[in-house]
Amino acid sequence: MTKEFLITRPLHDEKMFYLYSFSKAIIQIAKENKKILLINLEGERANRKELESALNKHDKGLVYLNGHGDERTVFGHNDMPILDKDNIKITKNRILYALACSSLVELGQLAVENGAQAYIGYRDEFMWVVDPSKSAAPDKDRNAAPFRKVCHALISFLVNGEQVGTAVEKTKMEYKKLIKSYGTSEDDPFGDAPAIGLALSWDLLCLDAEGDKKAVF
Amino acid sequence: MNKEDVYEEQKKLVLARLNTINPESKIMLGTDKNVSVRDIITHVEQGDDFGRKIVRAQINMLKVLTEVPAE
Repeated sequence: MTKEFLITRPLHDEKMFYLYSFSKAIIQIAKENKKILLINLEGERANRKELESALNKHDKGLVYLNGHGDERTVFGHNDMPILDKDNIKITKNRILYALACSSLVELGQLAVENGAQAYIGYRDEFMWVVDPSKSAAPDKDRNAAPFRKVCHALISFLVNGEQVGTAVEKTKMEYKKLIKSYGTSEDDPFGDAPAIGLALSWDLLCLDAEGDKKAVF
Repeated sequence: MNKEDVYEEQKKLVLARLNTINPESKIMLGTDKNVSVRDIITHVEQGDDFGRKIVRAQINMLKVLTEVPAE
């Protein structure tokens, strides 16, 4: 029996280029896994209508939302709302990971109240560091690499069947390893490594989950 | 020492650390704005909501850096 893994990947501004880049590896992994039905809503397809249509066809699975966000909304293509209180019921029975700012604060709780198994997200803004000379090619931006690594780690843990709580805790351990690596870069005092450590620490504080911590994809 | 005194001490520590970072390092925030380390220093100096969160994150970073691994 296949399991449904849906991902939204807007691609309309510089920040979305980075999030799109962060999810490339998991797309490849999901494509190669015959037990996973991948629904990849990227670019213009990362919209509310497509999301609702896809989620209404199945009754459970994993949803990975990439986009801008606030406490009550996750946005898709062209920053149009893709998930909010008016369609939150479509998350019923699902595990969600929202790589979007602040949505865990209210939307995550609301999703769980409306039947989502669990909602992983951030309690504040998601922060990362870039090399401005590489912003046109996020895949090659070494400053962004640790942030790609932790985002990929979390979704990989979920895809590989870890419980939600375990996936979040293992990802936090990954954050700590990276903070130790970047935060003490004595050989790079005026480079970007200390800023990377700061941003990782920020994200570590903000990452959390609502709902059933034992839920499994 | 009350909570605000502790915060003021933490703020001094964080500012000392932030002042060793490349001020032009570009930090992306998921919302519309981006900030440089120079901007972050200003927020911390002003003690606004964002600046206070930065202090908390930096103190958390120092805690992580000084954690002793479990044997």
